[in-house]
Amino acid sequence: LEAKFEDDAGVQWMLAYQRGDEAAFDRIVEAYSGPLFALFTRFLGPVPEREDLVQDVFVRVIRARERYQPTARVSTWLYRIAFNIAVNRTQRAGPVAASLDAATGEHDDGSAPRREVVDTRLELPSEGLERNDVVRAVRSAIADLPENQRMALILAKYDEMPYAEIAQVLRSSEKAIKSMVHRARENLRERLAPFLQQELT
Amino acid sequence: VNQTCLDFRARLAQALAEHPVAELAWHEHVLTCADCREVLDAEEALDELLASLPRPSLPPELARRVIARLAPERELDHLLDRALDRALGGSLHEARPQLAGELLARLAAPRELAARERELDQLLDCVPAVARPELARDLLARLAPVREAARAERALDALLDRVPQPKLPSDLAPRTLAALASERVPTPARARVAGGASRSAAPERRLRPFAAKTERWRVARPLLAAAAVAVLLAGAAWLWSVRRERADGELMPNGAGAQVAERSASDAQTQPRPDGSNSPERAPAQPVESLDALEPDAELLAQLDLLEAWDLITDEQLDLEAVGIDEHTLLGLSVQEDLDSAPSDSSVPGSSEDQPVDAKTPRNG
Repeated sequence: LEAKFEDDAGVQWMLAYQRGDEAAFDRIVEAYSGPLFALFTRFLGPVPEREDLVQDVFVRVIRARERYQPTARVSTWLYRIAFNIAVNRTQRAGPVAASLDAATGEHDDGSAPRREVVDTRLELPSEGLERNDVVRAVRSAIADLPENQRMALILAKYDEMPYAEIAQVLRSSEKAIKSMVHRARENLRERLAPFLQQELT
Repeated sequence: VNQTCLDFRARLAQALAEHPVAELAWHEHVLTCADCREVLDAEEALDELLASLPRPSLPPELARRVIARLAPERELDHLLDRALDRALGGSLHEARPQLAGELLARLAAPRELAARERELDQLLDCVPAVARPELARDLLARLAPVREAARAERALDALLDRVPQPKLPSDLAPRTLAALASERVPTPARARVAGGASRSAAPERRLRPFAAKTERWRVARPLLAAAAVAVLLAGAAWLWSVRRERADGELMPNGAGAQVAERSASDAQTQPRPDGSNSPERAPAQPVESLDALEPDAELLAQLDLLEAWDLITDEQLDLEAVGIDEHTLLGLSVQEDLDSAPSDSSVPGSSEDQPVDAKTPRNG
């Protein structure tokens, strides 16, 4: 990992930003705002303030500009910040919104709430209902995981991040992350047993 | 079992001899036939298990014996090569017609030896098979939990994969950058980018601007600073009033003023001097005679001046300044405590004319 992160484009951009290249910061935002938004969505559910949380991550990047020292890939660093922000948000605002049907509220500027729209035109209504049930159950099961397990599972499963990097994000050891992901999957298997039976048959 | 199953199993048998059976996992028949899938799984499991078996170790002398037995045949090859070279090296007309017979005669012994070696190879190949008829069944039974767990993992992965990708707002990055504009320190490069075409089209829907968050703090900052200055001034006024009260006591004709002066003198003795000495002989306490001596500490005034400079107050280090204010407030309280707790020693004469009591009070920190 240590050999890899120095070649990371994000690290180069961050160092350029530290030297005063403001365009490098634009590139960082353009490259990582999407993954951060997806991370917040998966971790917190479709809460309305996901974009604000993404913004908060970059505010911390701006404030850490002078004292930034590359020790890992920029994505690892940003995910670490995002994890802290998400955990703070969870402790402040309560459990995550896991349901697809949960109202996402309204933005501060009064704009319409964003809902995740899935293209269902090519599927039968019964298939859509079944898929929504499964998706809702899976999201609910993920949302009920402890924060560390949830983040470890999301990063391992959906971001395909190596355990070593997840360990840097969660400030833990690689072995602990491995165990964490394993426990998360055990919990999910227990919660999703009926759906797993369907899947197996 | 229908004809398709039979065809598939024939192909499976062929695959077992040629390449890994895992390649057949994507065969279309397997996707529809559970029986054949089970057969394929069993073969895969058996393959994996067999692959995990340790390689048999041959006795070290076997290779040496085989090489030794092959030595004459290798010598024969050399002889044959040389003979052929001699035979074909000259003119074809010089080749003797009986050469073939001679060669065959000379090759007879090595050929016999080669035949024996082949027999040895056959013997070596007949190492008794370790497979038992029930081996596959036992292995499958042992592997069943593992296979079941693997299937459960695959099923869980399939479930997790059903969760759709989050839909990302298309203009997330530009809106984030626009919202962060107030937080970023403007530089020439930034100004150039901001004036460019990419920033000219401002997005209609903007994020909650960070400026709104910081604006509240910027409004609250002067108020907090003003409150801190008020507290400091109140503390200074209280300190000054205490000193004036003491000075009034000094001017009183009755014994009350002298008592206060004595307490002040004893304070002066107990307080350490700037030069590190607190000896009463070197620093005789003098009674306060003038209100001019009750001027606030110069450092305290300097702190006030600093606090009144709004550019410093509005700096982000406001909390640090506030800590400084608290220290001075504590300073006044400590002076009061000293005055209250000082013993009334009437034996200490004089007053602190050149060194007022409060001027010698050490600053916290």
